[in-house]
Amino acid sequence: MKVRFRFSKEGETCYLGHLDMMRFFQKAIRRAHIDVAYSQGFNPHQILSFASPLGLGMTSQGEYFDAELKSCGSGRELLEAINGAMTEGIRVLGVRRIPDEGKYNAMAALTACSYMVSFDESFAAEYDLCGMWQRFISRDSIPVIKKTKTQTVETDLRPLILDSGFSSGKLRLLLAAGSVESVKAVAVLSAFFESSGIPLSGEQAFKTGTVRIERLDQFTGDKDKLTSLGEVGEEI
Amino acid sequence: MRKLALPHDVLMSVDKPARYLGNELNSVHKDLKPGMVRYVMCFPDVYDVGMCHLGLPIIYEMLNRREDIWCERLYSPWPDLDRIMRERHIPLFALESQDPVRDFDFLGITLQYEMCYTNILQVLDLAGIPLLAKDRGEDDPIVIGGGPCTYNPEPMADFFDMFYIGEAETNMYDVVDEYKAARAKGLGRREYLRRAASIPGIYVPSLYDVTYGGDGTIASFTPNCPEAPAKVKRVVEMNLTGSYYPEKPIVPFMRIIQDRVTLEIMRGCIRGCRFCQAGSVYKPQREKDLDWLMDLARRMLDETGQEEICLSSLSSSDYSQIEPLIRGLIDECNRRMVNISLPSLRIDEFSLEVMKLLTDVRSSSVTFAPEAGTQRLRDVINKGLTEEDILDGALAAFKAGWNKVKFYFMLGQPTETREDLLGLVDLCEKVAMKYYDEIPKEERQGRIQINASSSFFVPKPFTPFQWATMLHKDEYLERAYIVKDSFKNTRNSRALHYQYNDADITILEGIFARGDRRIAPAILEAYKKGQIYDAWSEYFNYDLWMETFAECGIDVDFYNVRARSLDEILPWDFIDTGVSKSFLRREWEKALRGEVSPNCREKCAGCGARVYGGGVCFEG
Repeated sequence: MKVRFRFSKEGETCYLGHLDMMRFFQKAIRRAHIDVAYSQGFNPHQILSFASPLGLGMTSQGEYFDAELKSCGSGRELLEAINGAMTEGIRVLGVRRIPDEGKYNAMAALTACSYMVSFDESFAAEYDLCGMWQRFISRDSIPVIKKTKTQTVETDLRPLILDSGFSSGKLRLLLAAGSVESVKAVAVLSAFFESSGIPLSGEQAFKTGTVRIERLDQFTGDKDKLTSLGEVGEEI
Repeated sequence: MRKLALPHDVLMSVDKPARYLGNELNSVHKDLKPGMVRYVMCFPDVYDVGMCHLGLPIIYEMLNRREDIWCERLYSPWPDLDRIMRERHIPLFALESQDPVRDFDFLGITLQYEMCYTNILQVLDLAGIPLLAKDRGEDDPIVIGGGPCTYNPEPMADFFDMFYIGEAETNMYDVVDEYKAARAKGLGRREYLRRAASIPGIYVPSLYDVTYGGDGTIASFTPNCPEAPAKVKRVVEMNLTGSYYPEKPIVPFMRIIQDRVTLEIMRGCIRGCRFCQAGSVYKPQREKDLDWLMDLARRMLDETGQEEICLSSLSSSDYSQIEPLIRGLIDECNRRMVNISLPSLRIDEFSLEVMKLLTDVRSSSVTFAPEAGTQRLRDVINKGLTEEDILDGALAAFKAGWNKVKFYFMLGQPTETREDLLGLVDLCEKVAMKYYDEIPKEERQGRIQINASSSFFVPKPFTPFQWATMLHKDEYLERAYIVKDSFKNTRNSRALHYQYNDADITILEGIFARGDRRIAPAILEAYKKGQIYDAWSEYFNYDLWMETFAECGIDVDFYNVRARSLDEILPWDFIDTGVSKSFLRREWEKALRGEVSPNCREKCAGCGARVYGGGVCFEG
């Protein structure tokens, strides 16, 4: 059976990379004595698949991985077992049984991610970020130049920002994600800063701590009918 | 959220920030209480390497069992962070508390290999601790060294307040308790060091005076205060079963070089290989109880969730319960889907059977370490492995399906001739021929692959070869070229591969391994020129070192290629490892005659380690 785990990543665990998190959960599953399925062969590994990697330096309330389990008790027991094997900053928030078909796989099903962007106080005091954002988001198109190894292409960011809002000095973003169309939160910030005359790239602002980014959740489905990856499937 | 020593922008700009967080599972965090002794244990290399070491976690476990001590960890910042810390004046910090190292009572540094010496200066410097022990004041931590290189600590003597010679389990608490007592009495640093000097195993370099004769050798080495013993005795833990062991090993978040649980099954070695320092300074061989080991293995796997367990010892096949241990572990680990790693196993019927269960025969290889190419030279070095052993072992492996063989050799050992070099190639060729002669075509799994590699021999203190002369760099390389050329001309040259380790490092290891206190200024000078991470080829700079030795008036040949007389006072003679100098001399003379000595189980050779009153010396 396929079980989806939702977890949060807070505090200093934001400096742990995606591969570190995969390895962390592989060991945690052993410590918790969860009856996970292994692949065949001389180097059997646990059958786990992780959703979209979280950028280094970001915290999150909505990270996911799917595990193939051979058996398990109730959802509550499973949650208790795995949380008994966690470390400070990482917590499993929920578990649900999901359908076996590949299309439900956390990575394959992903269509959108939501983020909360907070700003350094002195930076926020310097600019009317809320007003600037309103002007930025009311544009019909936001063309940006994307440089890849072989070519430069112009893409429009506007349709990739599915929803946004400013409240209490924080910017909430709902961005397209997954294999079809996607955009990174720092790329949106870069375009926003550039269009608002703020001399800073999103990457710089994020690395220096001028902005902090937290992922709130990840979603599946069409843009007008998004479902949290954590609500797919059924309770155990 | 716990405070971090490094700000967000620094963590975001260095490679692998997880190296500097100190929040791994099973790391020990305590509330600071007044009077608590703060100890930080440093492995002076990058986290990825240092975290694989077993010794440090043993001390971590031992010290943290006491409520009045908090022991934390420290690894060398990688050069990217080193640069930022200097630019921004960020003091070096211990991982767990993230507090500056300078605030600690003790800074313990393990000396695992000579090439980490400049990293030790880096750690002191970044911590804001004066590099020279004589310049330190009451507010500086006591800097204490331990580990294999302390069997000749002299090149590093100026930088350390004291060295702990031997195994931490025996007297580490005494070192701390003496400190607490001195502190309670309001005694200062110098007074504490004098008192500590009388604890068995403790060497305080500042309490000894060295004079040199006209020929540059040591004329005298004498204590300058009554507390310092003329001979510092190596301390040895005789009851390893049930002793301190990391039962809850720290689980790193990031990938380290060897990310697994380590089970130390014994200490010491019964073999008397004459080049081997570990075989000499860890005598006598002491085994841990089988049931205790099985229990430890289970607990460590439960506490970590690690997917591999590795047996650790100098020669696992000599552990008397090796078969039941491995069979027990296979049962336990199969159930848990855990891999078992078995280094240092002799190739025989049993090990092949086990390896067949544990590894993929097609992709793995069998390994032999004959160290020398001819029986004559193997007798000189007392390596009890014959050509017959190797050919039989290889044939058994071929029959079991293996077709990859690894060989480890050492070039430049005493009495080595051209014949020995060619013999090495010949041996590899014979193994290749064995494959084609004895395995029928239809049973062969493709072509045989033989990978031979060699390093250059560095004579080490407390071995019979401590009197051996080394060679010049070009002579080492010439020998490697002879081997390389000879490999090219073999019949099976396509199946035989050979590579040799760098000779540059060998020269430097040589001078550090057998150097005296007069080497220290060069180490300091090289560090000041920016030299760190010498163990990493991308940072090692041979020319800079040679230039520095010349500037400091140090003659490398005096330390490396000069013939030492048997009655010369050696820099490390003040240490009593239990193995007597007269035994080492006997072994050296036997070596030159090409005579072998029995291993400890066959017949006691009277090395002197019997004084420790246990282990293999009192078996049966």
